[in-house]
Amino acid sequence: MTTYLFRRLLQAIPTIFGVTLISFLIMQAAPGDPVQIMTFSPTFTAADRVRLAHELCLDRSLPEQYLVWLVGDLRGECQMRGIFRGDFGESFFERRPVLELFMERVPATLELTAVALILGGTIGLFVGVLSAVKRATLFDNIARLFSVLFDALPQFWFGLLLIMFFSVQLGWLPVGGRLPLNKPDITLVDRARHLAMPSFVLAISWIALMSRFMRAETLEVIRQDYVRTAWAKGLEPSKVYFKHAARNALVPIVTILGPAITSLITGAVVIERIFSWPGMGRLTVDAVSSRDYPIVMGSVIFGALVVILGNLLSDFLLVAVDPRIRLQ
Amino acid sequence: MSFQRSIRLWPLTLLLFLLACQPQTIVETVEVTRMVENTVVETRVIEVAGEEVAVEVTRVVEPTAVPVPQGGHVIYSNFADANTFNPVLGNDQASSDVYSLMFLGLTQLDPFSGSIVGDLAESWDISEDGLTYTFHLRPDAVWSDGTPVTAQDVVFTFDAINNDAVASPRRGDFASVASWAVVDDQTVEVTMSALDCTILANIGTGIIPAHVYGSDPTAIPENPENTAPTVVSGPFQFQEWVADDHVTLAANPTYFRGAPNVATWTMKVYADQSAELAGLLAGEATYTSPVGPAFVSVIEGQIASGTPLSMRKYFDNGFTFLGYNLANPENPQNGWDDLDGDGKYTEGEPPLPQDPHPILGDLAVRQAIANSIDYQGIINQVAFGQGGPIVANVWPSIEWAYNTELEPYTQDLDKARQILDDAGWVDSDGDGVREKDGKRLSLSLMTNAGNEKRENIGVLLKDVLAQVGIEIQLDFLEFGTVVQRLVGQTYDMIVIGFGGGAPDPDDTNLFSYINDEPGAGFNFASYYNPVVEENLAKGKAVAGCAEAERAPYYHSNQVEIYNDLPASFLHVDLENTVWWNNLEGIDPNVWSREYNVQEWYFTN
Repeated sequence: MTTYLFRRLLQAIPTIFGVTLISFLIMQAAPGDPVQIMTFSPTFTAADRVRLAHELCLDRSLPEQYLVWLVGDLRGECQMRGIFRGDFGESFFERRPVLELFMERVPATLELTAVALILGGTIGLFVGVLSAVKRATLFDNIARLFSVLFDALPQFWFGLLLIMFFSVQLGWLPVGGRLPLNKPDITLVDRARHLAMPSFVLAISWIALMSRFMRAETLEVIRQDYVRTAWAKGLEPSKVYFKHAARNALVPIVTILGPAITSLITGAVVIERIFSWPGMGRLTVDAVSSRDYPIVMGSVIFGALVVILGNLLSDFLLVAVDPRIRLQ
Repeated sequence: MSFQRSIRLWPLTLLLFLLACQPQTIVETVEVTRMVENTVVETRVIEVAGEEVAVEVTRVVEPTAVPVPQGGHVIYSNFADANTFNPVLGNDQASSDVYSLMFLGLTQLDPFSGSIVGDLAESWDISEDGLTYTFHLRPDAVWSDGTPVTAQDVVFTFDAINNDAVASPRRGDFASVASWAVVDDQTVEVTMSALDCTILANIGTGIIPAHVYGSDPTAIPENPENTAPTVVSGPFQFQEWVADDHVTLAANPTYFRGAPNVATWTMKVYADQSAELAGLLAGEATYTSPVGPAFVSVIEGQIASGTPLSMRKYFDNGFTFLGYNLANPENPQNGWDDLDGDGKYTEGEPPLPQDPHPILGDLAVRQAIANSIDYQGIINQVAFGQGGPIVANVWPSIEWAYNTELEPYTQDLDKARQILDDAGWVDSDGDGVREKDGKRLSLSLMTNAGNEKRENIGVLLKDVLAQVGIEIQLDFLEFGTVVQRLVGQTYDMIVIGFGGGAPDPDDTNLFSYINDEPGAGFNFASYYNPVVEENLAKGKAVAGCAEAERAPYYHSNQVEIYNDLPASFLHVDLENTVWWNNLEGIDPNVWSREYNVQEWYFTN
């Protein structure tokens, strides 16, 4: 397993560099210039813009700019540092190492995503299994209706609706942010109040997907002989459904876990904006708008890592839930 | 504290008789309380474009509860986060909102008039030739660690701004400064290379503590003080920053104007203006500025229904305009003749005649457009009534420089048609679009996609210009693309705006040929007028910089720009600040919201 892990990680290195090269070229091909955006004010002179472009190495050729991003300015004429220094280079706008900016925000994104994953996974699993067991009942019909609804609902609209109702009208939950302000002792309840709406809105599509998959897989599994055997042994229905049936139904679902994590993290970009959640979302979106290439490139690496690690996690979980599978 | 008085502005009535073809009256009653040392009764009358925009203030003085309540947390909502807390590096409004409460400059703006007044500098002398400024620092100004603010701090800050390794966006402010030096601990001397009346506004950058940043300015960009300052000179000191969530500052007990009454000031970051509004109405934020024009009626409705909120409105220092490219977009050229071939403007290089725009190069077309625009309709329908007319390139909040003699353009479609007819633009094929010499009167108009206000202005313009035979192709583009085309001078027309502008009317960067440089300069209209050039040069170089002596140059420039039409100035925004009534003392104005933040207090 260690060899497998090592090999996969080694394979990831050229993948990541390939992704950065492609995204660098796409960013450069897009119209827009970071210096012009940064100095979009009548208070700057033409000379200011020329000087700033030089100081940020943006007056170099494309291959040179990519090299600067990798290894820094070897000529020592501009102030930019390369990612090999270990900090993903320096943001044009924030004038700080990209890694430092990420470290301030990644925990918030991971927290939101993890809670949404757990929330969506748990609700989806239970609803899916129960739908299958109570097939064609009122519960099943309502569950399927909500599954379609949750898939179709635009998350930004649903989020705003929840804010208007729970925050502005009822005053129960905060409009946005991760933690309460000016409160010395922050409790688990405080955290939960801030997480409730964004994690739920982020989770709804995952709930929809998970419940549909679980329902279909469980329907398949509960007809199998070993389930009949479990009934014959006189086991409790909960044990039959959730221990014997659900575990086997989970095997194909594990394969969608990796893509689901990727999708949740990218989906968090939108949710973070709506709920003013201080994660990677605002930083990434603003960086693309302002052509802050070092942040965009760093985000691309982060995204590529999430995809690679998500797929690795799927592989390992598959082994865990299905002992017949071996990693080679 | 016994000398302190509460001035209860009760009632404060604003009568705004807005000029334009359809004069409109806005009557507002606002109650404001603030703490001041002296009683001031003030009546102000502002004239805009020769018409009445009167602001009458009646103040009734009442005794204040003594002592003033202490403590509480002020939360200001914003939809952008700060990037840095170092004024040497800062280049955005959100950062400035925060660091200006921690680091004071030599000078600041008078909150009511925008004139330059002292901050860390108690006073300054100007030499007879106008080239040497001697600033005298306040003896009572101290850093929060007890160290006095000295001339060394000022010189260190100026050195940092002008150091290549720092790459400060403030460096252009010092273009006409030759040198700066410490005279003694309390005195700094700044020597100019040329007369420049904008220097007092430019030199107001926050001063950073030399004894904390160390002797090497080149290390500034990586200094942890940039994101967590430990020593400050302003009313608040740094407490906490959670990126993209909030910045909290705590009252600075050593602030020389007196420690703030409130315990903390926080800037809470929301996703956008609608989230800000939700945060305000939910009681999370204490005040916000501005509430977007589309939401003003929501606040007014809340106030009318008894919600304890207050709103103050004032004209912004900025404008929205329709910009014209006077040069051929297929052949962008520098506005100056590059005699020495160095690729950049060198002093003395003469203007280079431009290849004119095939359609907009004709003044008659620009005049026809200017006479077609429904200015009041744009204010009413697009800006939701939250705007006022503007005649040319100086915003009315710079009262001394604003030309009140000029009448703003108004819609007159018959006149527009006549101008085009006279100029030979006629619809010969009956397709509704005029032609001349085989050229169709068809233009593209761009603005940044997602900016609903500008998009709507574009739609209104397309509609109204079709009525006079001008065809408009609307291009709503991503912001970066818009900026690239604009600065690259490869566009026809643009709807764009600037806000939060400088308190000085000098706009050399927008209208002088020396800044007509495709890809870099901001004279993206490729405008050149020798009278304007002369006025810009003379207006900046008045010895002593008396406003009354400078004003005629800027009045004259407005006339030139009004007639030449390198742009049609559509309106100036009516900005606002909204706050919960339990916050007392807040007195927001166009030039400063927080000038008296140390006097704010909560009643409950």
